[in-house]
Amino acid sequence: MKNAFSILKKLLPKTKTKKQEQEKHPQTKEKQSNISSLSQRVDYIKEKLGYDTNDVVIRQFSSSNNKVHFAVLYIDGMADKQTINDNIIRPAQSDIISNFAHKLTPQNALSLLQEHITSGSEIAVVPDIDQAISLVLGGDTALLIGGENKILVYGTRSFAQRAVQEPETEAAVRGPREGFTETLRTNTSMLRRRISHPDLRLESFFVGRYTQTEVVIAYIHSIANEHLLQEVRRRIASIDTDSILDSSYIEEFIEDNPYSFFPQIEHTERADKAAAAALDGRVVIIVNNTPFVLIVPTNFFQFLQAAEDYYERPYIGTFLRLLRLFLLNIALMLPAVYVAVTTFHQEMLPTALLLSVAAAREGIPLPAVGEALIMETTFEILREAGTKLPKTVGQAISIVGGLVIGDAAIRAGIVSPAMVIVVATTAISTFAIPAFNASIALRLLRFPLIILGAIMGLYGVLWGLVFILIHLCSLQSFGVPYLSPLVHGSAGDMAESFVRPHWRFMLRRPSLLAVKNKQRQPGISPPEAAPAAERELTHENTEE
Amino acid sequence: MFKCWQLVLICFFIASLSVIPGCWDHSEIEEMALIRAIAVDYVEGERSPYLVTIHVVRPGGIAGSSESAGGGDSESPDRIFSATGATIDLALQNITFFLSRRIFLAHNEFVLMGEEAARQGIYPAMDFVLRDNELRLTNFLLIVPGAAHEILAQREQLETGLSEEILGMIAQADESSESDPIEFFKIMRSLSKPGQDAFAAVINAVPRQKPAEFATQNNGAAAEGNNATNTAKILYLSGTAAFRGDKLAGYLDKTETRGLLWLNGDVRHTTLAISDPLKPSEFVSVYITHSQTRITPVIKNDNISFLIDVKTEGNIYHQPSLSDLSATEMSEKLNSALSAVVKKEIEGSLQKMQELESDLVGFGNSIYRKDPKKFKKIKKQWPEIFSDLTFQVHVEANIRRTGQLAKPIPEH
Repeated sequence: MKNAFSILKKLLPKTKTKKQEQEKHPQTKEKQSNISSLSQRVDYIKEKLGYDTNDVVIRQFSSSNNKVHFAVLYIDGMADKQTINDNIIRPAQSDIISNFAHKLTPQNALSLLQEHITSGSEIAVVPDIDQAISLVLGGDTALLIGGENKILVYGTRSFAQRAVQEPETEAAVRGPREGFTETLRTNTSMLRRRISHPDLRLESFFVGRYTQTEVVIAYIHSIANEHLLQEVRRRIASIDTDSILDSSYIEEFIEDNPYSFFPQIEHTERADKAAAAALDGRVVIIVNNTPFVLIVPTNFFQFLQAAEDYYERPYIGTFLRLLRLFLLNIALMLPAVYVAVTTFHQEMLPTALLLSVAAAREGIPLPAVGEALIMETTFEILREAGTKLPKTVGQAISIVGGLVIGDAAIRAGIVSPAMVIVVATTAISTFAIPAFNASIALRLLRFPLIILGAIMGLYGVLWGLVFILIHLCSLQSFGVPYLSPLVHGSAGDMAESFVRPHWRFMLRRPSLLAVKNKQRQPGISPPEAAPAAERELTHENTEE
Repeated sequence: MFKCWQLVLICFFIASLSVIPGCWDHSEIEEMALIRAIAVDYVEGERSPYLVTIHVVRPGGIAGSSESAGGGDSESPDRIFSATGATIDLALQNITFFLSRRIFLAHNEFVLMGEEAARQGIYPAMDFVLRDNELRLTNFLLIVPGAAHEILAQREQLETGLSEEILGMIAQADESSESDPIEFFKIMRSLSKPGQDAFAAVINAVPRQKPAEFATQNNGAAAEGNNATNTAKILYLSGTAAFRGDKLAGYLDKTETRGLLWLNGDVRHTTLAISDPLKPSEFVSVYITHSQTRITPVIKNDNISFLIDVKTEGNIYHQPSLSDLSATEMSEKLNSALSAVVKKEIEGSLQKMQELESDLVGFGNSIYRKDPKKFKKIKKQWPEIFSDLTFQVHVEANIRRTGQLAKPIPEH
C-alpha cells in the first residue's frame, strides 16, 4: 500500500497541473464545475432507457482501493460479456491483473483506465452521456466513472448473426458463393477484401429517427464521379423517416421516379457484384440489417445481366444475354399477342396451327381473353402461395396447382391446352430474368397488355408497348438515362448491353457514369506462343 | 409525374381508342368456318348461273382434338356446302344460310373452276380473289375438265383433309414437271402483260384402278385409262388449261405441259426416257436437275421468228440395258439423244399452242419489250401471227453424272 501511495504522490502534481491546464480552458472548467455524481447519472440512464427495460444492464462496482466508483452500462445480448468481465470490470476492480488499479483516484481514473488498466482495441472518450447511450444501444459498453464526467466507451459489439451463406436469390454455377449478411461490418469487410486499395471509401449515415440505421455508401474515390457522390449523399441525408428496416426503404426514398413500375436501383446479395459495380464507378449503398445492397446508378439492361455472365466463357454470356432479351419480350407480350392473334388476326397463323388451336378451343365457354386473364391470375395465385409457404408445403402447392391447372381445367373444358402452353411459357420466361424486381414490373404490365390486345388486337398491343417505351425513355437513375447505353452512349457501351465482351477487350468503364478514371486496363495483345526456336530448344533439352 | 392537361389528353386518347378501332371485328377462332377451297361452276341458262361450293374444315374433326381423341373414328373433317348466285360472292352469301359460322376466307388455298366456268372467263373469279381483303393472291387456280364441285366431293388419301391432299400434290408437281400449278398473282401478271396468255394447272378426278386392273391392260398408262365400272375416284393433277384472253381455249396434255415448262424455264426435276445409243430398243432414263431457257425474237422487217435456247443438265437415273455407257463418246451420244427428246417435247408444245392460238410463253410480250411500236401495230392480229410463227429450237443437254453406278455390273 505504501508503494501505491508513493506512486500516487508522484502522480498528484501531474494531476494538479492537468487541473490547472483545464482551468485555463473555460469550457472544460464549466464541465468540471458541474460534475454530476455517479448515482445521479445512473438514475438518468435508468430514466432514459426505462426502469423496467430488462436488457439494460448497469453494473456498479468500485476500485480495489475503494476510491473510485464505476458503473458499467451495456445491453444484454448486444455486447460481449466475456470481454466486459475480463477486460473492463476485473482489471478495474482488482490489483492482481493490473499494477495500476490501486492507484486509481477520481482525478486520474480516466487516463489510467484508458491507458493502463482496461484493455480494448476500441476505446472512445465520450463527453456526453446521451451520446454514450446511443453507442451502448448499438452494442458498445460504457464505463461511467464517479467524479469524472467523461465516459469511456468500449467497442464490445457482439450479437448473434447469420453466417455468410450463398445468396439464394442469385445463385451462380461459377463464381464466388459468398453473399452479404445482415451485419454491416461483415458486408463492408467483404467489399474491402475484394478491393484492397486505399481508394475504397466507406461513408456512414444514420437514417431513421427510431431505428438509427447505419447506411454506408461505398465507392472508389479515384473512379466514382464526384457529382454522383454528392447527389447520393444529398438524397440519403434528406431522408427523414421513422424507420429503415430494409434497403428497399432507402431505394424508394432516393429513386428518381418513385411512381414507376420499373425499379431504377439495382440491388444485389452478391459481394462480387457489388464490388464490380464499385469498380465500374457506381456507388454501393450498404444498409445495416439487410443483406441487400443497392447499386446506383442503374440502367435497364443491368437487370438482364447476371454476375455469372462475366465468369463463364464470353460466348455463353452473350448467348444468355440475347436469350434473356428475347424472354423479356415473351414474358411481357406472349399472352397479349396470343389473344390478339386468335381474336383479330387469324390469318396470321399458319393453317395447321390455326386448326389445332381452333380444335382445342371447341366447346370452351370463355373467350380467349377471359381464358388468358383467368390463367394468368391463377398462375399469380399459385406463385404467391408457393413462395410464402415453407419449402415442404410449397411442393404440395405446386403439385396441386399443376394438376388443377394443367390437367383438370383442360379436361373439364374450361381452358384450352394452347392457353396453358402460352401461360406456362410466359411464366418460365418471367423466372428466367435474373432480377426479380424487374420481372415483377413485366408481370404487372402483362395484364393491361392482354386487355389492350383483346380490345384492339395487335394494334392495341403496339399501343401498350409504345406507352411502355415512352415511359422507359423518360426514366432516369441518378441522372443516367434508364435505357442509357441504347439511347445514347458509345458503341462499345451499346454492344455490351447485348454482348458480353472478352475481358481482354473491356478496356474502358461505362462512359455514361462520367468516371474520373476511364481506363480499365491498357489494351493488351493476346499472349504469343513461345517462338518456334525456343520451343525446339526446350524440346531437345527434354529429349536429352 | 404528369401535368393535369397531359393526364386529360392521355385519358382522351385511351377513351377514343376503345371507340375508334374498337373490338367490332373481333371474333373467336371457334366462331369461324375455315374455308380451304372454293369450287366455281357455271350452269348455262340459269338466272343465277354460278354454282359455288366451299370446302370447310371442321376443327373438331381434326385428329388430336378433344372430340376425336376418344373415339378415334376416321370421319373426315371436311364439309361441303353449295349454293348458286348471279355472281360468286352472291353465291357465297347464299351459302351462309347453311352455315352456323362466319365465312373466313383468309385460309383459302385454291379456287377450282369448272370447264364451263372457265370457258365463260376466269375474270369474275380473278376479280373476286383480288378484291376480297381476306383472300390471298397466293391462292392457286386449278381448272377442272368437268364439274369443279366433284373434286371437293373426293376423299383425301394420305393427308388429314382434302385441301392438304391437293396442296401436297401441288408441291409434288415439281418432281415431274408435267403440271405447273400457279397462283393468282402470276395469272394476274400474265393477264396484264401485252402479248401473253394465261394458263392454269388442270386437276381431275379419275376412276381409281386396283393394281389387278392395271395388269389386264397392256401397259401402265397410269390412272388415265378409263374403267367406267369402278366408281371410286382419285385426284389427278396433270396437264394445263390454256386461255385465250380470260377464256379457256383448250388443254395441253402432260407432255405438252412439260414442253411449256421447258419454254418457260420452269422445269425443276423430271425423268425423261431416251433410247440407249447402243441398243435402240432399250431405254435409259435421265433425271433432269437443271434447266435454263432463253428466248430471242428475231425481227426482220415483217418476218418474225424466234430463237429458243434451252440448256439442261441431268443425271442417269436408270439403265435397264447392259450396254456400257461410261465412255466419253457414249455420253456425247446420250447428250444428243436427250436434247432430241427435249426438242421434240418443246416443238410439240409449240404446235399445240399455235393450234389453240394461245401464247402461253409470252412470245408477243418479248416482241413488245424489244420493239413496242412494232408490237402495237400487230397486236390485233397477234393470235393469227403467233399460229404461223416459226421457231428455231436449240437444246444443249449435258448428262453430268451416272448415279452411284458408272457402268452395269455384269461383265460381257
